Amino acid sequence: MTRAPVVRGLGVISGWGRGTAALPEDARAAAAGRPVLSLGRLARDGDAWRRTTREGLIAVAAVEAALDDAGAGPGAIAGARTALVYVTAAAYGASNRRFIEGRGGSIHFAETAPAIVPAEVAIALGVCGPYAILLGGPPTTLRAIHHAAVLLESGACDRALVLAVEIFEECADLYARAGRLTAHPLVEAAACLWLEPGRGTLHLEPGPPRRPNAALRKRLGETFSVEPLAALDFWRQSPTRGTLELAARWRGQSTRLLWTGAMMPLAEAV
Amino acid sequence: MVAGGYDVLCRFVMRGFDALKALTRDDIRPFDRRRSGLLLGEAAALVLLRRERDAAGPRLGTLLGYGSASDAAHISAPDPEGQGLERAVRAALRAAGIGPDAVDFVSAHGTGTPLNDPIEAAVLRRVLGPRAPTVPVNSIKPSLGHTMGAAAVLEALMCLYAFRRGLIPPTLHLDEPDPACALDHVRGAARAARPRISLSTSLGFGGCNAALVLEGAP
Repeated sequence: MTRAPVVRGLGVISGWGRGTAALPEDARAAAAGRPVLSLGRLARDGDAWRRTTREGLIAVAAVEAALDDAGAGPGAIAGARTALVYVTAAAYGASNRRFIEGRGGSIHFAETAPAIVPAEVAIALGVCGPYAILLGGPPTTLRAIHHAAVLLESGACDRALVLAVEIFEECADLYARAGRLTAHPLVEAAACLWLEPGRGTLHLEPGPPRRPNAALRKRLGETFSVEPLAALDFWRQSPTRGTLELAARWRGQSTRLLWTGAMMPLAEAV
Repeated sequence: MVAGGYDVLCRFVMRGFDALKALTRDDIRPFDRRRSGLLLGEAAALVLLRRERDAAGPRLGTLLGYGSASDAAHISAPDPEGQGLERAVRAALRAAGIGPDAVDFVSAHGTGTPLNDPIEAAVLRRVLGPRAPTVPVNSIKPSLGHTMGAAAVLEALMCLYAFRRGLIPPTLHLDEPDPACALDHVRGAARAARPRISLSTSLGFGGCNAALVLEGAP
């Protein structure tokens, strides 16, 4: 049992738009046959962003969405007291493919690709505290939240960002060739969860035998590691929310996170 | 919990490191004035970790502390000031509940690249303070190559075996120490010593820094 953090902010962006309010009722119908819903290259002013990868721009936008949600500016997360825990199942594929096909720069290859997105976020926003890069699907996102909670509980940081990013466009043909396309479209998405110390409890345990979140996936589509954070966004909007239970299953891994006090700041808890 | 890492060599990986101009045609020479880059190795290394209360029976050692930090400086190069690495090392010491005076030995990341080694040496001098000239430091990458995902685990195990065997392996090919990398380098031959508390540093692309503090078990 770990002392649970409190949610200070949460930003979700996807191929459907900003926030979970933008999701259609049925992703498959709304995709109208498109196997991938791309976010494209998000436009930003300034020469500093010219060399930032497409996935890096999406990641920064997700962090900014979390800042907006919390009513804070970038200065609130800059510095060494902010941890960044990054998770992805697929976002490094684009960099690898660009390198293999000679279409990208020389610094994106197998050993650098998973580190590019969190590095771009860290550099853009000056986040230089505890740092972890986790590769995997939805269960890994739950472990990322748990890792962030442990960092907060240990006093290693004052706030932690759990950032999940997935892009698919560059490797869409590979997903099709590998038979990875499902009934739901692959939807590019990113989410950032801003956590601070709280007074609830957090418990990570083996999850359900069946893949959870079917209703959410029907609306969202396949977003791999982003899915649990979208589920959290739906939960916090529910007027009848109780203990938060996030469940995830992915390629044989099954994990569940039970979380009390997710929305209860320290001041309200005492 | 089983924890560890592995990496395999293939043309894709070799081309990537070559594109960064990180590979040498010479030997790997960490902290040497002639150092010109790294060579890759292939390895897998795993450890079985148990909580103290469950850890009955023999053990190789104890993980006392861990720290990590981002540079937030560059996609592929380390921060020239090494601030991220310093934060990671200090966090690991804090987590271990010890000060730098307790460190008996440092297993350095020590890649042998022109950029890494002086930055790392400067960080170790800052952290170790007045004891820096007397704390033995090595890098086993000249012996094994840079085994990437496995490197940190192998180096942690080396720290624990150094205590158990009473020998610190030398940094091979460190013949002409670079004054910019001045530390108490173990070179030439293994040094007879029994370092109970070790500090092990690791750096990764994207400004990823990590440090472990380990205690050997007799």
